[in-house]
Amino acid sequence: MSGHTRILVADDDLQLLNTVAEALRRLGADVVQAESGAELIEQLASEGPFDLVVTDISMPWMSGMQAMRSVRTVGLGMPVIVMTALGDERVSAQVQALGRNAALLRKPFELNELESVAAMLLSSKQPSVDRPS
Amino acid sequence: MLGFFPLGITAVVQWALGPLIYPHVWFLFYPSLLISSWTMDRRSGLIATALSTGLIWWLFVPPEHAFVKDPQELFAAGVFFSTGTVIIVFNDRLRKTTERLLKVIEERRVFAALIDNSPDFIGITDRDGQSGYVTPSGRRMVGLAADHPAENTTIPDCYPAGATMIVQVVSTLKELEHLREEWASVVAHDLQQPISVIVLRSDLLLHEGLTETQTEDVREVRSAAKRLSRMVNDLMDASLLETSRMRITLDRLDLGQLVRAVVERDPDAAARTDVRTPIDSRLFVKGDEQRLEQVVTNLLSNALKYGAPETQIGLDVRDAGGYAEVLVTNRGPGIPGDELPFLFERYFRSRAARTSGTKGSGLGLYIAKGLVEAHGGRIWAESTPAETTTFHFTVPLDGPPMPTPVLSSSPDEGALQPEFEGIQP
Repeated sequence: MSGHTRILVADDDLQLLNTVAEALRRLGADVVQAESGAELIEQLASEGPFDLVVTDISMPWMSGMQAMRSVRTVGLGMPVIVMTALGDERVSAQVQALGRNAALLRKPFELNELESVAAMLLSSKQPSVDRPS
Repeated sequence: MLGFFPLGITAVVQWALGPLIYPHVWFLFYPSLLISSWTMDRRSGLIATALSTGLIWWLFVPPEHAFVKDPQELFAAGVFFSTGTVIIVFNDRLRKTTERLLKVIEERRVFAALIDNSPDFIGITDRDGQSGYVTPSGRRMVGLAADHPAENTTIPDCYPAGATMIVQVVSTLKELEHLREEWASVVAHDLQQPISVIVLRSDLLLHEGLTETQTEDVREVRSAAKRLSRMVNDLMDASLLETSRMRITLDRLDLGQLVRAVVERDPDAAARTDVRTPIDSRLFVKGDEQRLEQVVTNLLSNALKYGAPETQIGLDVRDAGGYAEVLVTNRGPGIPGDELPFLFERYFRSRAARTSGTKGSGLGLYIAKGLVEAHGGRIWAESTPAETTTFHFTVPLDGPPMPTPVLSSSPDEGALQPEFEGIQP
């Protein structure tokens, strides 16, 4: 991951947000943080574009999933890692619906997992959702 | 002693009246004996009767103050004594019956209060099934005024005569149950957040060029956090199973392939496990891939933990008529017969597990059982102490076993290829 890789991380748990952001920075990325789904959208609009979005699901104001669905609707097809501690089986189907460049990471995950999933998504960086032409 | 009082008073009155009452010396004593008997038990009553007979005989039957009287008087004395005895015995019996009756009435009052204060509909139909007793809350439930006579409530026609019906309002219970479920998943979710921080920060620390001791320390912290996470997941699964919220997504799965994948994922397991699947056929089951992998992983890790060190673990997949059966066999001390029936109970940990120092929540097999049963299968264990222990589980087959494509050299994805049509069963 080079310093040019721009990653947006969103989680309402500040400690975890800082930790994931720090981990990605140490892996060499340029990281912007958001504390809610609404802030995720704001940051995408003001600080974008990003090469990768890493987001939690359960967040106030707007869940990570709602935020990413909105992002996809407006035609942004960047890769996304959805982090979750929810045991809900429906989550994986919802993540699949975000496209082939979306991956699910179940909390707690290891640094290696985060690194390999991020590297995999960044290497095959092709938007798989239909963009409005 | 109070019982002797009316008799004494009668004696005084009769003495005062003197000749007025003569010769009916016994008569006044009948009512006084009747009054006395109310306060006396059988024994004192009989003593009182005998005493009064003697007193009247001595004081009032002429000639007075002498024991020897006209033999005719003996008849009157005999009648008085026997009538007295009968009065005493009957009154005693009457008093006891009354006491019992009062007790029953009191009990009935207590039960009626309990039933009437029940929040449920409790109704008892009479013999013709037309009406019966219904509790106040029951009357409210069917829209009758609370002061509607309890005994004249019409019971629905469908209800049999001479029976009791209890209808419970479960909405409060349901609400509590829902809160409990929500609480369990929120707790499980919230606990994973700090655990994630511990695991990630430990990983970051491990990249900081620590000394050997420091590295070891951080690894221990990390491993404890991972264990905590597994325990939270187990509690979450147990909660899902108990509240029937465990979602099983059934897909067509090659069970042999699934079992091999589980073994290959863990290098320790792969080195010690002999996987045996049918040579000539593939067993497809209806199952949830992730959950079946969880069951196999659990049984396999138990076999590795509790099996004798350095011994091989057997992992067999076979056709069991309509079901696919998985057997996980290890050599080792085994499980004593008295523990076998409890293995799949919540929080049960065998003596071996408790003394081995192997950590566990006691939920692994309980969850495995729940998951297998959610698939419509069965799980059980057999053990010959000091020899082998085998855990079995079954999952319904999805169609008959498929012949293995012999000529295929690539690991295929499950679906039969057209060129093998000729050897299909």
